[in-house]
Amino acid sequence: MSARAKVRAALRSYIVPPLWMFAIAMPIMGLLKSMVSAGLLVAGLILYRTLKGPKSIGAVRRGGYQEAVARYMHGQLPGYLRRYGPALVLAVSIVLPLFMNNYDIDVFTSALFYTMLALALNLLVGNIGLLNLGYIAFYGIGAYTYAILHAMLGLGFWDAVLPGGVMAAVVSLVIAIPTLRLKGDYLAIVTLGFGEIVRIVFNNWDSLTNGPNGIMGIPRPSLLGLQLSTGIRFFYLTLAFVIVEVYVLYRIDRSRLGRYALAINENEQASEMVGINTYRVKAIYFMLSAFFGGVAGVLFASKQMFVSPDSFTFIESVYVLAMVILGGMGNIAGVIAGAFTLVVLPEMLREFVLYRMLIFALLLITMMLFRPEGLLGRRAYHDR
Amino acid sequence: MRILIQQIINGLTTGSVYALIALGYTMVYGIIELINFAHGDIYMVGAYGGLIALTLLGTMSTALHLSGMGALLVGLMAGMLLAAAYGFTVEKLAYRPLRKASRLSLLITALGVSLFLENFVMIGQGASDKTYVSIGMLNRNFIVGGVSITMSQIVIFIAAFAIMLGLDLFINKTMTGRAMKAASQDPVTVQLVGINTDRIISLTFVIGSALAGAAGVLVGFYYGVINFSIGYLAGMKAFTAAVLGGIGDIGGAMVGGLVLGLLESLGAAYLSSEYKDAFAFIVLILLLLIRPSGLFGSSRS
Repeated sequence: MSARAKVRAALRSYIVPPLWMFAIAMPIMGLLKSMVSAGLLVAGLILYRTLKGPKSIGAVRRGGYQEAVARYMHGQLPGYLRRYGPALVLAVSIVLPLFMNNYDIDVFTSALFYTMLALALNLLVGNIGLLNLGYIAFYGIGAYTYAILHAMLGLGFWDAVLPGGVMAAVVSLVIAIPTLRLKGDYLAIVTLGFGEIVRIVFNNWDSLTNGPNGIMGIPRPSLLGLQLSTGIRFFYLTLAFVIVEVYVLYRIDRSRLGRYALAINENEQASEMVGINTYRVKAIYFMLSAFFGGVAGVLFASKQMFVSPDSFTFIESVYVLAMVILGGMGNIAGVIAGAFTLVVLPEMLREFVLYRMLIFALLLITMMLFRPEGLLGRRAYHDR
Repeated sequence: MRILIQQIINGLTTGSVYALIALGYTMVYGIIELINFAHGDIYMVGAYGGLIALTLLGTMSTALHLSGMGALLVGLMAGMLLAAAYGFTVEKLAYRPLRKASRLSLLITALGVSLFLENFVMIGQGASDKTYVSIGMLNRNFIVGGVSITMSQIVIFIAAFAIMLGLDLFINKTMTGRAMKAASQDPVTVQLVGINTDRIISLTFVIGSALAGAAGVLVGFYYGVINFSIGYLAGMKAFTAAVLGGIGDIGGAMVGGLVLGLLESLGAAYLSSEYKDAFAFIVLILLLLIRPSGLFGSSRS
């Protein structure tokens, strides 16, 4: 490359894009912030260019943590780690809260809530490949079911867990029956629309849901006469729910049904050819996913002791989806990691409250550009 | 009867705004089959672009002294320009690298872009409502037989239709426009006859975004306030309009926008105003179930 061409190439890649970004950011952001972002862009570009090439991200990826993780996933790690890894995580999550203050326990509990949701959504997005953009509606339906059952019939937490899940599953079936025949994108839009409709109904059906004010006075659960009202007790209750959910999902994944789902995800037409009733499997998955969302909703209502439509907005659906994507679709460990990352990270970025969603959005975009399969990626199928 | 006519006028006004935004959805979907979630936010950026330009002019207006018409045009131009620049950039940075990726990745990227733009504007311009520049001319009110129609409504009609007419002429009469049309019908073959698809896609985003930007400015004048979050709902409704007219169909998007605007304002008047925002979604779901190819679409999809 001649010197002149080099200069021109450098100009094209390091000068023009930042100038352009500066020019279009200026009207919205003002002088200072635009200059900072243009500067950041240059830094990002240089970083990217250095990582690319022979010593590229790809090379790092092959050698680094990815391989370790892959080995773990494929059972090539020492047997004891593979066998005791989950138990270790469990032990840590049982012991750790004993040494945490109330605030941290609260954050931890909230991470567990999102874990429940992300795992259930992963059943759809990761395992069978159906995108649901209104997932939070099922969470809301579960929460409202408990709130309304309590307000009207005085039912307690344990009586509401199943109805909450079943209610969500039944509603999901109503939406699933007609829509599951739609193409992928359209399904995403219909579920989005459905999520909005549910929220608007929560907001406006005053006689049942008390409108925007929500329903208050929902009791905390008790177990064997023990009030689960303190933060740490509630944390353990939530943990128990997560454990049950992980176990059930794990079993489903390995059942005949799970294999069907896998096949459908890989190639729907081929699965149909070999005699799988794809429509039915999809409907069952839709219901299962909604059921777990509903159960989580009941738990959520009892934690907040209050429900209102504001908790179930579209952005929450996106948030849960981002957890599934971040950790790695179709990978239980990955999804749990994703949920914890996206709950704990913003807590650590408290000073940057204003920029939190911006960073989150950037994360989502860069993730899709560079690692669409998520941090841990999908587990290799031939090993299961 | 009076209420009916009044609602029809209001419905056609919002409907022509929906139509303007829907065009961008439909054009983009026609070429790369992406539901561009960020499109609603481009519309919002356009609204801010117009406002910022007009505020800037306002501070030095003693020298320039724009008439009502001049201010309107300047606002529209600025909004369209900024929106187009954003649309172009978004396509280039976020969508182009993913051209061969799975549709799920693309859809999620679009969600990310939408979130990004919303928060970007929130940080730059603040989270509270912004009052739009008010142009005296637009606030004039005509009352004909008990039905009121404002100047801004008339302007929205005229502007929207002028823009759509321009688009129609561009697509059918110019070489580039025909290339665009061809690319939406068959992107592969178009490449074989020597048309640069990437350029066409860029152009599609630029034009679609400019239209959305124009819609943003018009809505700013019409309602008088804008906010960083107006893009989401408007985007969803415009998407509904696009599906209503058969996604990928430019004429359909225009009609779909008007139909949706009418449905909404009539529904709010005669059924329930509380569920006004739910109508679009209900229509969307019913439509996707019954006629996914749109009201007048062929059975191709």
